Amino acid sequence: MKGAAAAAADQKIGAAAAAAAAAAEHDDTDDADEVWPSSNEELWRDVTPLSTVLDEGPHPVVEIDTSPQFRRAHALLYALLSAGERSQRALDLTREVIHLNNANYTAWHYRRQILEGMEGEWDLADELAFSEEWIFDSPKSYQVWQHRRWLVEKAADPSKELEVCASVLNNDAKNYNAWSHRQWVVRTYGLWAAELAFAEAMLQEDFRNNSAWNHRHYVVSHELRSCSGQEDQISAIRSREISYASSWLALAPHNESAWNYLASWFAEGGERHTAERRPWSEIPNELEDRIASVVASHPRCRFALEVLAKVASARGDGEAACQRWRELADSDPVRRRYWEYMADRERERERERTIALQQTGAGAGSGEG
Amino acid sequence: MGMVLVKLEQSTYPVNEKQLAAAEKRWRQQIREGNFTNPEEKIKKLDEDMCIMVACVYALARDGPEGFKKTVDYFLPDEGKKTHRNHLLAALHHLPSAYATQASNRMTLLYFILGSLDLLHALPEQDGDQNRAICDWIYSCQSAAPQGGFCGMPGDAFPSTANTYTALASLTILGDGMRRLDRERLSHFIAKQQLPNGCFAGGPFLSPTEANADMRFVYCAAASCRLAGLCPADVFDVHKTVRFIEGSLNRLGGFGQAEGLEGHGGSTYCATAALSNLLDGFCCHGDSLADLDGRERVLQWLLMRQSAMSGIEGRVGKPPDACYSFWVQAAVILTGGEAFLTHEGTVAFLRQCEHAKGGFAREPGCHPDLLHTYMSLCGLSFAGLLPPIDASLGITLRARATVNALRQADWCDGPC
Repeated sequence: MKGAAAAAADQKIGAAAAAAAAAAEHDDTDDADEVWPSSNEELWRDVTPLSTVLDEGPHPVVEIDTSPQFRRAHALLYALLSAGERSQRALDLTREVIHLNNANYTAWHYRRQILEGMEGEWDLADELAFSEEWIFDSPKSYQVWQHRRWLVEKAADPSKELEVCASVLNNDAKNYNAWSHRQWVVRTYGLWAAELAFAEAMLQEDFRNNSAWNHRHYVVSHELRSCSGQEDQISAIRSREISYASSWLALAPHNESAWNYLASWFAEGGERHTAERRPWSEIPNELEDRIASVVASHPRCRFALEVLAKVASARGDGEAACQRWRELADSDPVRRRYWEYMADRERERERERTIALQQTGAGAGSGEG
Repeated sequence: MGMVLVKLEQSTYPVNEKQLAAAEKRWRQQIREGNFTNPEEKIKKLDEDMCIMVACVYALARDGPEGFKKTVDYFLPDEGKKTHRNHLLAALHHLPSAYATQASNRMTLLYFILGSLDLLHALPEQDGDQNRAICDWIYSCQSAAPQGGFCGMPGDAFPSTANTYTALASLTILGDGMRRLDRERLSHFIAKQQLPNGCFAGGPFLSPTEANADMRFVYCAAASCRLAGLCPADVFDVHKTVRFIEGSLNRLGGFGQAEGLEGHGGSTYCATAALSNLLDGFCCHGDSLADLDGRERVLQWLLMRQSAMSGIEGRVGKPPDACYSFWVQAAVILTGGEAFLTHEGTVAFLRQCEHAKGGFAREPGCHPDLLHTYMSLCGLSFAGLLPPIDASLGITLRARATVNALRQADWCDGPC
C-alpha cells in the first residue's frame, strides 16, 4: 500500500497523479482483504447517512468522481459527527475515511475528539503506530504530522521522534514537515544535544541541502540565545560558523546555501550591528582572501562578486563596489536590471558622500565646524 | 501548434512541430552546458534550429520587452486559450477520481477554476443561471451557527481558514454582492483561528499546540478580512500577527512557514501578502512594506529564485516548479521589485509545463492540475500576457474593483 504513493511523491509527479497512483493501489492490492466498517450494514442500522455530503443533486459544482465506498463512508461519518457520537464504531469509521482521503481534516479532528472522549479505552502505543504508518505513507500530509504532534504531547514521550524524522529525511532530505516536526520536538523537549551533529551529518550527505543548512542555523541560534549578553562567547560562535561555511566555499563555489549562511553573520546596510552580526567592512582577512581566490578561479561566481561588492560598499569604496555590481550585471543576465540598480545606487551614494565631504571641508575652513 | 513562422534576421522560415521540439531540446542543452554569456551569438549558432524560445529571446534582444511580448503573443494564439477554457469549464462541473484526496477542499479547487476562467475571459455570465448556481453552492458551504466561515464542501462539520478565503475570493470573482454573507459569524470564526503566538490555525483544533497552523493561514485570515470588508484590527490582534510574521523572517533568506523554518517561496508570498493586507489594507493607514525590516534582503532572496532560463524554484536548490511563477513573482511585486523581474525564462518554462489537452503541470512532463494551472496563468499575467492580477489578494484587478465598489456601496463608512 505504501510503496507507489511514496515513490510518486518522490518523483514529484503532479498531485493529482500521485493521488491517482495512491487510489489505484488502495483499490488493487492488500486492501482487497480488508473489511471496512462502512460495508457492515448491521453496524449502521440506527444511523441515517448524511447523503447531502458529496451528492448535491442535478447541478453539482466541482463534483469529484468517487467510489460508492467513498460516498457511503463519508455520509456515515458526517451523520455521526452531527450527532456528536463518541464510540468505537465512530473511531473505526474515521480510520476508513482517512484511508480513503488522508487530507480530510474533519476526519482527523473527529478522531481526536473521539479519542479524547474515550480516555482509557484505547492504547496510546497503537495510535502512535497508526500515525507512524501514515507518516511513512504520506510524509507530505500536514494532517498526518498534526496527529503525531498531538499524540506525542499526550504521551509526553518524544523518545522516538528524532528517529522517525531521520527516517523520513532519509527518503526525502528536504521534507518540510519532517524538519518542522523535528524543530518542534527539539524545542519543546529540549533535545538540542545531538542536533548540531545531525545537521552536520545531513550536510556531509549533501552539502547543497538548504534544509540542513537551515537546521544548523536553527541550532546555533539556540546556542547564541543561551549565551545572551556574553559577547566573547557570541564572537567565538560567530567565528566558528564563519569558518565552517567558508570551508565549503572552495569545494563548491556555486553552492548558494553556504553563501547565504555566511551572509547571515553580517549586517546589511541599515541593519543594526551586534556581536553576532558585524558589518561587511569587518570581514576577516582570511575569509576575504578565500573569496578573492574563488573569484580568481571562478570570475563569474555571482555569490562571490556580491560579497566583494558589499564589502567595498561597507568600506566606503563606492568605485570598487560599482565595479563589482557592474560585473554582476554582465555575468548574471536574469538579474541584470537589479544589479544595474545596485550600481546606480552606489554611484548616487558616492556622490552624496563627496558632497557631504566638501561641505564638511568648507565648514571647517570657515571655522564654524 | 501546427505550422508556425519564425521571423529571424530578415528571413522567414517555416517551422513544424517536430523541428520545434528538436530545437528546443538542443537549445535547453546548450543553456545547461554553456555559460550563456552572449545570448545573441549563441542563438545565431543555432542556425536553422529555431524554436519558440529562440524567437522569444531574439525578439527580446532586438526589440526589448515589447518585442518579446509581441513574439509570445504570436505564438500563444487563441487556440491554446480555447483548450484551457474547455478544460476548466468541464472541471467546473466534474473532476476525475484523481482529485478524491481533495474532496475536503473543493471550495479551493473552485477558486482555482474561477480565477483561471477570469484570466481567460471565460467566466459564466454575471447575471446568468450558472453564476447564480455557483454562488448558491458557495453559500451552501457557509458554516451554520455557531461557527461561521466556510467549509470546503457542503455538509462538512468544520469550516477551514483556507476554504473561507477561497470562498470569499470566488464570490468576489463572480461579482456577488455578499449580502448572504454572515459577517458577524465570519469575524468570530477568524478570531477563533488566531493562536496565542499570532499565527492562525487552518482547521478545527483541540489545543493551540496541536493546531495545524502556519503562514498559509495567516495570509488566508488577512485576505479574508479584506475581501469581506472587515477591518482586521476589529477582528483579531493585528500586532501579534505582525510580530509572528516578522519572527518568521529567516536570516538565511525569505520567510519560513513559522519561526525557525526554512525560507520558502510559498510562505514568503503568504507573509508579504498578509502584511500588505494588514498594513496597507483599506481600513488601516499604515505604511507599506517599504518599512519592513530586512525588506531588501527578502527581495534579493526572491530574485535569486529565478533561474537563468528554466522557471522559478521555491527553495534554494530545489527544482523549479510552475506554481512559484505566482508565489515568488507576486512576493517580488509586493516587496517593490516588479521592475527587476525578467519574464522570458519563466514564460518559456511555463510553456513546457502546458498540457496539450489543457491545464499546466508543476514541471514539464507531469500531469496538469488545477492549482498549477491557476498559478501558471498568474505567472503569464505577470509577464503581461493575460489580464493583470492583484498580487495581495490573488484575484484579477477587475475582480478587486468589485470589492471596492461593494465596499463603497454597502460597508464601512469612512475609516474604521
